Amino acid sequence: MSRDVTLVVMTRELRAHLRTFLAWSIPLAGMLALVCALQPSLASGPLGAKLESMPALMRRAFGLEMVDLHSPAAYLATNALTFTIGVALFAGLLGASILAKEETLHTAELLYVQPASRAQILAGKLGAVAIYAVVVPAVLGLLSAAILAAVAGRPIEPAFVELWGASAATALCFAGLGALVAASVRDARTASGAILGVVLGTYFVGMLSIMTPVTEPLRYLSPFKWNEPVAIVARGMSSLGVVIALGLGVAAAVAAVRRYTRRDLHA
Amino acid sequence: MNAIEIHSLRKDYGGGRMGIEDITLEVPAGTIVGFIGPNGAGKTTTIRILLGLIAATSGSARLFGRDVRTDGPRARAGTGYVPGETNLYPAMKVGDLLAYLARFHAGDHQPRRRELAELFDLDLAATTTDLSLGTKKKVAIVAALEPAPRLVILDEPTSGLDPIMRARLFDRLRDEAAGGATVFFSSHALSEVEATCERVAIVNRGRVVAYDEVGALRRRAMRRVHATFDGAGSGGDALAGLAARRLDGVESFERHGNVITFLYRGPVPPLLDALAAASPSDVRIEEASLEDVFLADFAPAREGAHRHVS
Repeated sequence: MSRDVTLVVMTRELRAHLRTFLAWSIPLAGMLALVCALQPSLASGPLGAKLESMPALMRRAFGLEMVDLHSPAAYLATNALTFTIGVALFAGLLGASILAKEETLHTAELLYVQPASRAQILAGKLGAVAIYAVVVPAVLGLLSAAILAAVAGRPIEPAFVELWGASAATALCFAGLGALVAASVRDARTASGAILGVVLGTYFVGMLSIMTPVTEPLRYLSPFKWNEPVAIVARGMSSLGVVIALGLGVAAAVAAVRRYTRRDLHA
Repeated sequence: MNAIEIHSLRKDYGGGRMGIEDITLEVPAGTIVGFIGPNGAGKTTTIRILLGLIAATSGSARLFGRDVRTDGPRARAGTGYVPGETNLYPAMKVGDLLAYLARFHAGDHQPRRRELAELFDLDLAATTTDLSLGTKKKVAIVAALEPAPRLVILDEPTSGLDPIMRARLFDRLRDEAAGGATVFFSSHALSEVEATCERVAIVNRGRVVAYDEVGALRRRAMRRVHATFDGAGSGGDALAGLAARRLDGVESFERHGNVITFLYRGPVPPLLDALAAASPSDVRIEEASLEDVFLADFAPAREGAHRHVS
């Protein structure tokens, strides 16, 4: 029965957030398609020469000094962070809104009076978030592989899977944090604003970490730095980085469920 | 067996806001019980604790013997709920929403859904976003009744419903009770409570101040007296006469021409003596309505009830 209830909720939430999924994944896919289509120009054309002339710090910030842009995976890695931020924003906001909406829409009295525990219902909701948090990078991964294979004229490297796998781990991390934020506040707007701040804040902390040796330790505070795309292509994926991101996401989700199951729900 | 057992239930929201002080109540299975009281008395808070939406500060609440806090899902199994204010998921077909909510309960509920939708003139193909307040309420009613619950809890179920739908709802609730279901509902429409319920619990300032059969409550509480006097000014003389005899328990005096009406709470002989002394040409003594009981008991107390939240 418990698995049935969780499945019922998960199916409903997947349907309910299909439009949100499309609203995020279609623009991201469009941007990614454009970026991938530009690979020949950036690797060997005049744009490539411009990139070569960029200041060292900027080249380092974008990871350009570590990779060969003729490689599809390496080229993708120099742009992947933008899409990982997009996926993280989607997952974080979805994790927050899927919990907070019941009180915002005043539908808590419909759902949480059913003969199911809050933990069962939340498991269904968070399961739906997890599925979307993995599906978006998977779709982007397949799309980028298809386009780059066509335009680069070189085979797609296994690092592709690691790049998007790390992106999914980062998304799951922020999905859990989004749920925790929503379990701690009562209205969806506050929860969305807070998780937006967390995603962008940790990204900027990560950027700060590469500016000077003094700020370098800040990288440990940013999930975006636990598996940098350029580093994945250059040195392979860090299993530790993935485990920490997933662990933080799961711990945040468990904490969200514990908080949410103990609090009063107001219509 | 009791469908609902509440013992010394207390809810303190903090910050000086008290939900309920001390509610103790037992609702036998298969009965229809009304739950009435002034605004802020604690009716909705009690119901929300029963349904596991909020946690009590102390005390216990059980549905069919199962604690709502520690065994919530099983306690709520077979319970239907109609909230006071109905809010639905937007942009869903009514039929899809009802099917979704029914999946939490075992069994196939489609035949009952169709039957109830027909009874309440509910279009299952309509979209939830376009529904009026009353239609949303009908959706909530169908959602609560379609799994054939053994306990139906309704919080102000008739708000937003037209008179025809109200009548159909109460007919249906009586049918459900005849089939063995327990019905527990709060309402401000005391005439509905009076016409539908076997027992009534009156709650005020977070406490149950009376819980009895409707008739017993009316009889125990007071009588409404109509006395007619012949001749101009004789009504006023009668009032003066009653006052002079210091008849305790008289309240809510009203005078319309040569007819005076008042509520009386107390033994009958002193009332008859006082009326005989006033020499009315006609006297009619009747049981007070539940509304009379309610107004006489709680209207003066409302001022102090503002710190309670529902």
